[in-house]
Amino acid sequence: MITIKDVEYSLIHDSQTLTILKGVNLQVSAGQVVSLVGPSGSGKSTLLALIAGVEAATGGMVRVNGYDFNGRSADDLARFRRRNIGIVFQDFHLVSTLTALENVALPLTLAGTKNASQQAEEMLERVGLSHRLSHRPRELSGGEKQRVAIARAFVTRPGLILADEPTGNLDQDTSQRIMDLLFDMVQRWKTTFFLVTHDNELVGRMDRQFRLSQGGVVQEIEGGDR
Amino acid sequence: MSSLPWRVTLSLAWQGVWADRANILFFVSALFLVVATLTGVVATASFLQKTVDLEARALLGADLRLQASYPFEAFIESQVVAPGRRIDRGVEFSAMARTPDTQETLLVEVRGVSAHYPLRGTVALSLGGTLAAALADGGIVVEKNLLLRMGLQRGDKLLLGKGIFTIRDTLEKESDQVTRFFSLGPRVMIGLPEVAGTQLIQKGSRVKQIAWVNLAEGEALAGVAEQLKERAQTAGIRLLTPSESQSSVRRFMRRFGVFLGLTGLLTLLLSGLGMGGAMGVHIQENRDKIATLKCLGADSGSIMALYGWQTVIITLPAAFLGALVGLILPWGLLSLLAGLFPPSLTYTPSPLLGLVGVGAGLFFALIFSLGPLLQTRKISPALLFSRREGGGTFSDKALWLTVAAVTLIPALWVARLMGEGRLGWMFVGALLLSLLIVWTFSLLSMALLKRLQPAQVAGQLALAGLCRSGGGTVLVSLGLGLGLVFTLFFLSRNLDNQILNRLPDKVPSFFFIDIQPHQVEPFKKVVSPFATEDQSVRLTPVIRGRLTALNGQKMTQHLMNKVEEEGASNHGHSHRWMFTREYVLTASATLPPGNQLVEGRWWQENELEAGLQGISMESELARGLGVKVGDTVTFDIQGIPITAPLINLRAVRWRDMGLNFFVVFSPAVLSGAPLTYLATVATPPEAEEALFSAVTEQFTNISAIASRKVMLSISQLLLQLAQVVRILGGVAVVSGLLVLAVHVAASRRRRAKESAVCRLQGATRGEMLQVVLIEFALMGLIASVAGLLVSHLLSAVVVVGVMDDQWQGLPLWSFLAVTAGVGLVVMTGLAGAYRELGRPVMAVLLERES
Repeated sequence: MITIKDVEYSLIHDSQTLTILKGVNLQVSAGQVVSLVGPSGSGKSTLLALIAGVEAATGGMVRVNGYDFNGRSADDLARFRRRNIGIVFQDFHLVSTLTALENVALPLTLAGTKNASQQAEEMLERVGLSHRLSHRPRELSGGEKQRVAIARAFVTRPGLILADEPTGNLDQDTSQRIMDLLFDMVQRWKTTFFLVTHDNELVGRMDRQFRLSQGGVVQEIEGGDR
Repeated sequence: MSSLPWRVTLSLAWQGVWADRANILFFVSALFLVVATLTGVVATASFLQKTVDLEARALLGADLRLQASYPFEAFIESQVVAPGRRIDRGVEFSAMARTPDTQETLLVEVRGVSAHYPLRGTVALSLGGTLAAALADGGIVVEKNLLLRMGLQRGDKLLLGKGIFTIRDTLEKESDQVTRFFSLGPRVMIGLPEVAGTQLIQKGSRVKQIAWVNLAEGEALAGVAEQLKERAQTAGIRLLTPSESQSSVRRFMRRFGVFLGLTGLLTLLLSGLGMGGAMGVHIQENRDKIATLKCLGADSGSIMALYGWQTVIITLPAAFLGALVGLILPWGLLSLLAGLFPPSLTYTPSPLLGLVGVGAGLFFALIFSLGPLLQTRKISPALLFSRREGGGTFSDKALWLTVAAVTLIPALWVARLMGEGRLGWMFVGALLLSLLIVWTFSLLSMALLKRLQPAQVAGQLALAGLCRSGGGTVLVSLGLGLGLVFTLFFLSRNLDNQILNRLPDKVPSFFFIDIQPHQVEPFKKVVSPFATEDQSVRLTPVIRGRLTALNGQKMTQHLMNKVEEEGASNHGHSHRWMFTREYVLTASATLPPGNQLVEGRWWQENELEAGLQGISMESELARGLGVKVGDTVTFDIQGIPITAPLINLRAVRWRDMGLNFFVVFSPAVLSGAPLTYLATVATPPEAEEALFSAVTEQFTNISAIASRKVMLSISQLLLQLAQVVRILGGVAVVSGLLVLAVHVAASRRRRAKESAVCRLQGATRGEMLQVVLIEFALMGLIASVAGLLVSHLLSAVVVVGVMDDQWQGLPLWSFLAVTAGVGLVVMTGLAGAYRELGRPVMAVLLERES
């Protein structure tokens, strides 16, 4: 599902090259549930952005579901993303001007699905928000916003779900419920799930676990299998 | 291509507009200003132009018009009469009209016409009858305001010289009414055969003989005009064709139009900066939304379409409203300039122009938004992962370049198309110079401020805020806007101070014209008791004539073109009027008072005794004609060629509004000519009426022009024009303030965060207010001083360079202007920033995305 080979990512800052990721190799099979842990600033979010196709690697190869990202334009990758990848953010990133229903319907609309609104409504019902369809993000609690974001990520039934510390802004109870929801959805649709997290308690629920060190090197943590 | 269905795109676009409505309001306001100003300016200019163009032949009263200061029947018979052509004669002169009891007198412009008048166009009378019928049997037709001013009505008698006439009707519409700007008095039409009975046309009287000519079927106007022109010129006759009829009126209207247009373009320039900036801020505010959409799979086309539609949604209502206001503007302008244009001018708004205005608004909105819209492509969805900058900041330089290209290039093109390329270049040059001054001053000031290290935190934060990116654009925009308003203000203050305030001293109360030689002594006796002092009565012999040859070379089209080409290469503007105009000529033994000899020498006593034949010419005229001291010049005076050498050149201060002449002969040249006298008399305003009555009662042929009153009414018109100009300048300042408001909006988040952090550390709201006050006061000070520098330079160039007058710096007004500028900027800035300072600290610090 995900193949990352000799990937490098560096930035030019004040005319100096700043290497964030170096020689990263990673292979995740379809349907696997994996997590990526590591200290702050180690490049976890950057690696996630590379897998999402929103950043381009400065070296190496990124391939998702057999689709090689190398040489693809930003628009090609956007079109690929709309059918194949769902993303859940720490900061939710809902469109503030749209209702919960419209937010969830948006990826379907982009993908040209005809009954987008109906599917979005079913998905919101599934995450327990059937009573919040016409509410805008500012009228929702943090947990509710994240449920909408999860519904949006899953609504196109993508093969891969990426989640960037999805509970980082939530209290413990809400975090627990959100993670349960996520795992439930992943299991229901046999989706590949790539989670960036600090939460070591989630280790037990993962198929595999990777650690990213400050030097930008990824190592698989043995014994991570369920 | 957009991958979003258009309904979803429109819905998203509209929701985006509503969510960022405060910032969108700046964009919409700037656009409204642009569309209203440009539509209004084009509507006014095209209305004035069309009025003149449509009635070109009617204005002339025929296909061709010939006119001279002497009867030219022989010329008509030999050169003009041809089978199929129709020729009509007439005369024009000024005269004093009196009521039979002589209680009321008024200077009028008399036109003596035949029963066939006019050959082209119409004369409409109030009662609907024909002009021929009204003028039969001692009838006359007058302009309506004559009845009002003299307390008369239809059927009453009116005296013109020795003739007694019956007022049969009033003029409803006369073909050339539109173009009679500074008429000395109301029009009176009388039958041509009746003119002699008035005994007003005497030897040397100031009278215009006219022949109107309609060509035969199939004759080409241009060919006939070309054929006649040179011969007429040689004979001292002026030939007018429809294309050059009322050339001074056309020139005035064209220049007024170009001026309005260029000022409108300045508004466009400043508003363009405001619109581009506002759209840049809007995109910046929407960065996360754009990144989110991209993460969900929206491609660049969808995003561009979304924000493009948003631009269209916000543009259309503003453009419609702007076009509507623009179409109404000419009415306001005509009422503001009520004295300048005749009340018969009626304006009809053109819906097509309104639509063009809307289209132009849409075009400008999209072109100024293009830069920020293209930047959406660079907004990376990755910013949602790492919270780092993800592009989407719009460069000021790109905006300046876009705005400059969109405004300056068309400005030059339009000015060139309208035959005012020089004016266009002058405008662009002045604008670039102003830009350079404001830019340099702002950069230097900011560089200086960066070096300062204030001890107080408030000062440090204020300086940091001012020197942040985008501050430069705001300073330049504000400086330019304020510079324009200050320039207009200082120009009008200088004009007021130096011309209008000097009027009572410099301008005589009356000009009396057509004084016959035998009336000189009796006239002096009548006016002496009224004169304020001995020097206040001046009698000058005058006669009218046309230039026919230079150095023995007849004044051909070729010669005019040649001299003009040389002149154009030297000075860049046309001198054709110098060749074709009718000159008022005089003779004098002494250098006229107030004139200065710049070349050659004035004639001596012994030379005068020896009967010296010589010409003294105004130096600018000599330059335009391409003649120098020693050359010979020939004038046609009442059909007789008079040639004399050019002895000296004089500098004349026309602004003094005294009695000045382009050409002064030595007395011997005009000794045998049928001279009349022109007198100027200065008397206190309260004695003016008595002087007027005394002269007009005793000398029925002498016409009086109330010069002081005319000058006052002209000064009134100048003030009206200045008012229009100030309104346009005010619009430019509002545009500049919009740029400031956009800048404040752009720094909204930064300002709120800074304020929250400082308040968390213990700073009070009052102290944070102090930061904002210092920042905007400094901004206002730099922009106002830069604007003041621009205004002093430009107004000095106009006053000294163009008007040849003394420029005044007006320090008190300068100080007040800067103070007002600072106040305006502080108030605008504070209005935008105040709300951010008041927000609860934690709400700002914990502000999260949705």
